[in-house]
This record gives sequence, C-alpha cells and structure tokens, in this order.
Amino acid sequence: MNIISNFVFRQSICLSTRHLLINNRTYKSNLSYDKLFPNSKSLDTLSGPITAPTNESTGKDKFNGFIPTDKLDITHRHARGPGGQHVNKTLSGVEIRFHIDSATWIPDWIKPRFRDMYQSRINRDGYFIIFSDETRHRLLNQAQCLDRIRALIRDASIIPKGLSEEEKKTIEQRKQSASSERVIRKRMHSLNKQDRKSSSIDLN
Amino acid sequence: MPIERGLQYLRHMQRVTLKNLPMPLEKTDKWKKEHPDENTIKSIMSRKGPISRNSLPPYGIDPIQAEGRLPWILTVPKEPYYEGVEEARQYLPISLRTLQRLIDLRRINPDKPVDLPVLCNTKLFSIQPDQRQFGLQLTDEGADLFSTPINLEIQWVASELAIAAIERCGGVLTTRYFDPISLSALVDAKKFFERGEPIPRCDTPPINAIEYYTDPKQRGYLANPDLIREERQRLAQKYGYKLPDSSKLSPLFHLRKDPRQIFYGLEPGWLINLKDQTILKPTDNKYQTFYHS
Repeated sequence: MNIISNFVFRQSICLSTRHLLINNRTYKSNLSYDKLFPNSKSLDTLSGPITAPTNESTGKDKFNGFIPTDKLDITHRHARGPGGQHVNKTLSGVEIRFHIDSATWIPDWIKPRFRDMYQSRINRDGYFIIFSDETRHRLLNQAQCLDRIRALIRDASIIPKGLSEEEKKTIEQRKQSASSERVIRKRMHSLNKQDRKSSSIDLN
Repeated sequence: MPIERGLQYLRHMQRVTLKNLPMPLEKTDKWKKEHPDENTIKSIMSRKGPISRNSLPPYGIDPIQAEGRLPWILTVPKEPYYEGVEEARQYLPISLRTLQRLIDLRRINPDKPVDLPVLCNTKLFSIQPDQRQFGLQLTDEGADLFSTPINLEIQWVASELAIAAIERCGGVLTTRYFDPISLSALVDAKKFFERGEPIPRCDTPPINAIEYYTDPKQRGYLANPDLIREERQRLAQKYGYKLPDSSKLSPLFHLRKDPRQIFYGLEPGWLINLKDQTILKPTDNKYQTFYHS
C-alpha cells in the first residue's frame, strides 16, 4: 500500500509543477530547521509566541515601551536646512502628535508628571508635538521621534526614592555639628578682634 | 722563577713540544688572517653604507652587505591595508530603489519568491564566482519609496533600515549563503541545467561568516526562528509600523528553503533534462545519504 501511495503521490506532483513550487516540499536534510532547533517554540518566523510586549501597558503598571502607531497622528513635512531642490521637494521630516489625556497606552500616574515636565512641547488643546528632520530618510526620522517619546515617558516615570530615617538622622547630626563648630570659630575670632582694641578698663 | 716552571712542565706533562708549551701566542700570518685588527677591518669595510654612517638598520639585516644601498627587504614596500584581500568576500549592491523599479516595470514578479536566480535572470547583475563574488547585498537607498510585499532572499544586508523597509510593507527577508559551486549553478540556471550536472548540495558558511548567518538581527538563515520573531517585533516598534497578521498572509511568505537546498522545489542530487522535460533522481543508497546529510 505504501509503494502504491508513493507512486501516486509522485505522479500527481509531476502533473503540476506550479503546485510543486507553492506547496511545502518534503526535502529535509540533516540541517533542516527542526533538527537545528528542536527546542524552539515555533519554527515559523512569522507566527508564534513572542516575549517582547505586544500590547499596551494598563493604567497602573510601569510603561512597558509599547506604542500603538494607529493612535498617533503622523504627518510628513518638509525638512529644514540646506539641500537645494531635494530638500524642497521631498517630505522627509516627520511630525508626531497625540492627545495626552485620551492616550490609553500611557499609564495614568505618569500623565500629570509628563505634562509638568514637558510643558514646552504641549499645546493649548493638550496635544503633545514632536518633530524630527535630522536624517535623509523618513523612516529614520520616524524612528527618532518614537525613540524620543519613549525616553521622555521613561524620564517622567522615574520617582526619586527619598531619604530613609537613618539618612535623615545623619544629615541632621552633621548639620548640628557643623553649626556648633562654626559658632566656636566665630567666638574665637571675635575674641581676637576684641584683644586688638584698646581696653576700656581703668588701670588704677 | 722561569727555570723552575720549565722543570715542572717536564715533570707533569706527557710530552713537551713547541706547540704544547703555554707560551705567549705567536701571531703567525694565518692567525692574523683569522683575527684582523681594527685598522684592517676599517680598510676592508666599505666607506659608505649604514655601518660607516653610524646608523644601523634594524636587526636581521646585514649592514656590511648593504654597501650604500637599501637592503632588499627594505626596498619592497609594506601595504598592510591589503591584508586578507585574497579571502575577502564581495557582494554586488542592489538598492531598494532598483528593486521597486524592477517590480513596477514588471521584470520581477512579486507573487513568487524573489531570490538570486530570479534577480540574475534580469541580466542586470553579472556575478562572477571565480572573482570572489558571493552574491548580492541590499542597500538602503530608496527605503521610503519601497511599497510592495515580497519574499526576498539575499546574501548580505548591512543596514537595519533596509530590513525595516521590507518588513514594513508586509514582506519577508532572509540572508542566505551560497558557496561558489552552488553560486555558479544559480547565476545562470539554464546554462547549468544544459551542462548535465546534478544539483549541488550547498555547503555551510566559512567560520568568519557563521556569526553573521546565525544572527537574528541580520535575519540569517541559520538563526533561531524564535529570536527572529522578536527582532521583527522590535523593528516594528522602533520604526513605527504594524506587523501584518500572520494568519492573513498568503503561503508565499511562509516559504523557506532548507539550508542545503539551492532551488525552490528541487532537491540536491537531481538531474534535470530540459529536452525531454524529465527529472532523474538517484536511487543508490550512498548518493541518497550524501544528498540528505
């Protein structure tokens, strides 16, 4: 049965060569992918599990770095600077805008800090604007804008740790010791100055 | 006293001759030839050259034989920037701009996988395997213009921007190594089939290329598919585009050659007869094991 089915299989392949191209052939050498990577989760490079973040970060978490590009307003504009006809004609500058309050992909506790820190980039309607025209390629300028957005959000999400009880105590102690030393020094200096004056005591 | 000394010699030595006695050396002519003094040395040595000018050449070079000229080993210049040029691999450049142009002019069909024989059949690139050329490389000029999804197989990619430009449109890119024998079969496929040789089995890359072809960042064909997926996601987030849904993609983009395979749909070891439109496959066990190893 096996031999007959093999024969039939081969004949059907010879009949349609295009079918041959499109279907996955069964040629597997010693270096085929299932032998090179037996422990991989999925041998397909297009579909399978990924460890990098693929979804937005929710309201209370840290910012996980994912930016949904559908929700950003990306426009291509003219770049600035010298360059003649090329810079006048091609739109290689990239401007990205988004409304901060309605952005679901930024955690809520970062938003007020973000608005505080980057007032100069935010307009009256509450839109955050960033523009880049530093390279000749539109893709690279877009990458730079997104990189800056991520860096700014990350900077806004850093909360200083604050001082612990022990640290506060040591700081107070140092202040006190410094001030007491200062007082002693002052008193000695004033004694010096007094000795230089003529004394007001009558020597009788 | 000298007489006592002489008598001692007579007592202790077996034989006393003129040559045996420890006398002050008699400087015969023969001795003088072997031990020339300072003045004779000066008269023998040349008046020119590094020795006479008190500037000796580096160790290993004979100053006496220099005789006023540079010794041979210093006359031949050193060119350290050409080191390794005999083994260096060359890749002919193809930009994204030319690719888009070829697709627009319908010289390349984006509905079929685009690899080296397809690009060489356009007769725009003349790749010579005996001149240390190993295929094509992708440059990033025209990255903003590129807008067709294709399944591309190229031999080298130098910039991340080129990879991002292809994946942004929904395409797939792999970098693949071909050794010179396989390359001569790929560059002119029809001529190779007319020669009547079986399809060769592709070798693994040389040691200085293995790091490149196992790197997921360059989409090497020997890289781990898990890591390649991560890199695709990373580039999508970096450059600001969305990856297409993999279930909606046509099976064209899932096509991939085995690391030993050269042509899509043809196995190594097969003999192709273009005249009779047949394929001859080896049945002997030893050939089968070789071509499947």
